This record gives sequence, C-alpha cells and structure tokens, in this order.
Amino acid sequence: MISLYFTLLLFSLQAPAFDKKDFAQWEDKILKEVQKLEKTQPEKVYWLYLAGARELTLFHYKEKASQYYEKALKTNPKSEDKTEIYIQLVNLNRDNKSKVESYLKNLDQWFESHPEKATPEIKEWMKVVKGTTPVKNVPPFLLRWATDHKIVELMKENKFKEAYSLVSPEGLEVKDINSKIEYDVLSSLVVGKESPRLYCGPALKKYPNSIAWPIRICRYLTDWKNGTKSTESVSTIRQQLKTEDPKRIFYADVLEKL
Amino acid sequence: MKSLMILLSCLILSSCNQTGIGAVSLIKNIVTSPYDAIKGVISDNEYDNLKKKTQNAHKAESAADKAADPKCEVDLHGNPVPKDLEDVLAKVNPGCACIAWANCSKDQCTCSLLCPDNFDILKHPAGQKIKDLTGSENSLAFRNTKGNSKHQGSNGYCWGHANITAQFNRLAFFDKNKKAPYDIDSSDPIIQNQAIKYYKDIIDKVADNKIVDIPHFADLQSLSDHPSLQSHIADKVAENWADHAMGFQGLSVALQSASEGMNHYKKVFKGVKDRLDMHIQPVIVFTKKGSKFFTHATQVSHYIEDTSGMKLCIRDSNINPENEKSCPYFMSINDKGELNYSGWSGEDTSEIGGLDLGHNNNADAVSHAEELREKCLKDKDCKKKG
Repeated sequence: MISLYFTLLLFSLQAPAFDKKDFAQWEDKILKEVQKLEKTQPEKVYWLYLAGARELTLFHYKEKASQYYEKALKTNPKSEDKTEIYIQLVNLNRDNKSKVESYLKNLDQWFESHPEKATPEIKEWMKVVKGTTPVKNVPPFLLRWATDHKIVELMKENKFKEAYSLVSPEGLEVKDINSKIEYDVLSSLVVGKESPRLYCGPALKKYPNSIAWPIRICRYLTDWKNGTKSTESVSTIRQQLKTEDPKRIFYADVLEKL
Repeated sequence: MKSLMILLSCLILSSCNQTGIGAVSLIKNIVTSPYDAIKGVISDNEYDNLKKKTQNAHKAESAADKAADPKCEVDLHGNPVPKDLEDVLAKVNPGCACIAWANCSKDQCTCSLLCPDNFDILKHPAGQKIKDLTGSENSLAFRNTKGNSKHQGSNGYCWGHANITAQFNRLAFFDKNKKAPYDIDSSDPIIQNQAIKYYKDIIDKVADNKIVDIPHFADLQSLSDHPSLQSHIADKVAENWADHAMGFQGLSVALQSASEGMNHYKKVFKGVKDRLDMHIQPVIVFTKKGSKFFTHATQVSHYIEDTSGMKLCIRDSNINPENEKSCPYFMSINDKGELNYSGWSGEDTSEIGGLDLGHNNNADAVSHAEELREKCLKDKDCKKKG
C-alpha cells in the first residue's frame, strides 16, 4: 500500500510526469528527493522508483523504465514483493538475449527464496519465455508469440518441415503480409512447386511496382513456381533485408534452398 | 504532461481557480482510495483531471441546451461563454460552430473552444461522433489471426492490434489530396525507397504516441493495405502486444477466468461508458470463463442502452470490421449477473470470466489528448497571446 507521504511527495515535485523533453527536469527533482530519503527511509525510495518505472513503461520509455526498476531493486526493502520487478525486467529487455537470461536467473533465485509467489501461471509464462514449453502446450494467449519465435528458430536451423507444421492457411487471406510470406516460403520449401497457391499473390497483383521486401520475395517465389527467370535475386533481397529488416535476413538463406 | 505541471504548480501556489480546486479534490481521492498495485498513479490522476474537465464542459453544454440556447458554448473550465461574446461570434460568421477543431479562426471562436483542454480535443475532424471512429476505413487492413489454434478467439496479437488501431484513429491526420514528398508507388526504386522510409518514420511516431500528418493516403485501411508499410505496421502490432501482454500487468489480467460478478462487470461497463462519452474507444481485456489464458483484447466501439440494459459494441480484430457500426458483436450482462460476448457464440461458451480495462488506456488517452491540443493550438495560431 502506498503511503500518504508518497502520494504527496509525487504531487509536490512540481514537474511534469514523463514528457520526453521535460523528463530530465522531473528526474532531477526526484533524484534530489531520493538523496534526502535513501538512508533513512529506503522503502519510500523503493516506491518512488517503482511508480516512476510503471509510468515510464506506460509512456513507452523502456530503457529508462528498466533503469528505474533496477534502482527500485537496489533499495531492497525486505518486506516488498519483487515479482513485478523481475517479470518487468525480463519483458522490457526481451530483445536482448543476454540480459533476458540474466534477469531470468534473478527471477529463478527470487522464486527459490519466495516459492509462494511463483503461481502456476507465472511458471507457465517463464517456460514460454525460456522456450522450454513445446508449442502445442503453450496457453492460447501466448501462443502466437511463442509460435512466431519457434518458427524463426526452426527456419534458421533449416528444420522446415517442423516449422511448416506450426503454420496454417486457415484465415490467411485476411492476415498480414508477414504471415503470408512466412507460410508461402515454408510451403514452397516443404511442398515444392506443387504447393497449391501463394497467399502473397493478390498483394503482388495489386502493387506490381512495389519493391517492399515481402513483395520481392513473393515475386521471386512466383517466378520460381512458374519456372521463369525472376527479375529478383536472392542477393538483392538479402541486401534489402540487411538494410531494412536485419532480423529477417534468414529469409535470404532459406530462399537459396529452393 | 503540461497540464500536470500546471496542476502541480496550482497546488503549490494556490492561485488557480477551478484547476486548483480540482487538484485538491484529486489528491483527496488518491489519499482516500486504495492504491491499485499495478496501475500508474500519475497517469491515472492526470486522466481523472482531464475527465473532470470534460464532464464539466459537457454538463455546461447540457444546461445550455436545456435553456434552449443553441449558440451557447463553454469555455476551458466548462463555464458558458458570455452571451455577448456569442453574439459577436455569430455576427462574424453565423455558420461557424465553435467546437473542437472547427474550421474557424481564433477571431471567430475562442481558442479554448477550438482547442479545449479536455478530452473533447479527441474529436477530430470537428463534430466527429464516437461511431465515426469505427468501420473498415478506420481499421487495419489485416485481421488479427485465425491461426492453427483451436482457440481462435484468443490466439494472436489482439491487444497490440487494438492499441495500434486506437493510436492511428486518434493521432493520424490523413489527407488523400496532399502530395507526399515521395511517391510510394513510383516505378523508380530510389524514390520508392525514400517513400517507404518516410512512411515508416510516420508509423514509428504514431506507435510512439506522436501526432502525424499522413499525405497521399485516405485512411488507415489504405495505409495499412500497402505491402511496403503493412509489414512494418504488423511488426509494431506484435511489439505493442508483447509490451502489454507479456508484462506483469498483462499477465495479471489474463489469469482472471472465474466469474467476477455483476457488481464488477457493471463497474467496468460504467468505466467503458464514461470513456465512450468522452470520445475514447477504450481497450478492454477479457478471459473466457473457466479458461485461464483464453484471453482477448478489443476496442469498444460504442454502446447501446435499451430495456434489457447496456450492450457494449465490440471492435473485434478477428472479425471483418465492415458492419461494426451496426453493433453485430456485443457484450452484455444478463439478469443472473453473467457476462456474455456474442462474438464467441461459436465457442463452447460465450461467457466471460475476467474483464478489465487495459492498463494502458489512461496513459494513452492523456498522451493523445495532450499531443492533439498542442497541434490544435499551433494550427489555429493559438500559441501566441491574443
């Protein structure tokens, strides 16, 4: 429970919350307040940092939010539940593999000393984040995220049949172009030129001049299926992905397997 | 967050009138209410502040309507603008209604009416109704998912789909007739690449809660249909989903699968109605009764009240948005206090367990209102005194 003191403290800072241009001003005041309190009232400093971290998260300042959660942790009031902080640190840093691994270790340690905080559902979430749950057992709310990550992993390992088993053409007509390309590439790799249709086809027809990477891949697959020489090449697609969308450069590698 | 700055300054200086009174009352509310352990204390209070201003303005408008004075308007604090000023304005331009984003100059309407410091600023273009935000033209051109899960109503990036849609609906100013600096359909790859970069920057800004002008495209549907941009928008949807759903707050909501009872549902319905009345289509998160993690997030389009109670009309990212305005899919509470969603009628049960407003609603609405007001003040030349 937040204290009256804390509430009033927030409102006495006389500064805006987290507007980017005004944040330095807010932070300066909050840090001065922290300096005054850190030795005598660490639990209040903890709440101050925690509230700041939550607001920063809500306003999409992930890096700064992460720093504030870290600062809250460092104050280390023994009586407070740190589950939120550890989970948030994992999620805010989810694109940084080494950081995630380190935060997951911290979370494991926290649950070792506070097993009652590790609900079955949180354990489920941890398994999904760690990638230790087979996709078929992932709960529905987390399923697409887990599936998308698994498919990329399998494609990078050239396990195309396994990846293909995780995708479905159901409702694909109305899905986004990334999902269509993923399916079309996998079905071309696994089923071959006889695969029934390319779901990216209508977009290519509608935007024939487009040089977007999904359309270039679609054009390449279309020509490959038709047995005609393509105006696209794997090297130009690779070059484009390298510049525009490096996390998808594996597509260039798998197209070479066709 | 400038209004928060004003609010805080008022508290200290005790020299503001209505804003100061509002701030004191807000603090009283925080102190007397139990602190919600997973929400943002600052953004929630900023939201309450703007809510109060909006409701005051609406009350004053309603009082003016009752007094059969169709020309009467309200000022920044919800007070009626003096009649003599109205008369002057009417003489200057009889056809100019002094409402948010009206196509009138500051000589014709006061800046506080053109760019109100409340949630009415979300009503752009001028006179927009809540249902105008709904429908294909204001929706993403791709649906959430119909993957290989048997849980089709749940699997996907629904929360991100709803949030990104709301961000575009509020923050984007589309202008089909305005020429873009680069032609995205150019046959010249260099120009096309420049255009892709230009529009990707625009998309990034919207995802970061910033106002944007979007030339060349008529609406969200056409922008997000373009393959060069759809890929990027789909990535933003996935990222936004993970930001909300994979975090502590998202997990907490996804786990509530037991019935929460009539009182809770009515309270959430009231919160949704309040927001819709302030031109905010909120995002709600709900879980099928008895199925933890069978969780979905949608925007609420509008509501219908009749003898059977209130129906919340749902913008479901899994369903074609074409007929959304006629409320084909809705959520309602029955006499037994059970909550049902008609969009899940094909499932084994359409009964909902957990229901809550997305934890990002308030922070987003506050950010968007502030961004819009800044733009409005600039566009209407209201930044300078006079």
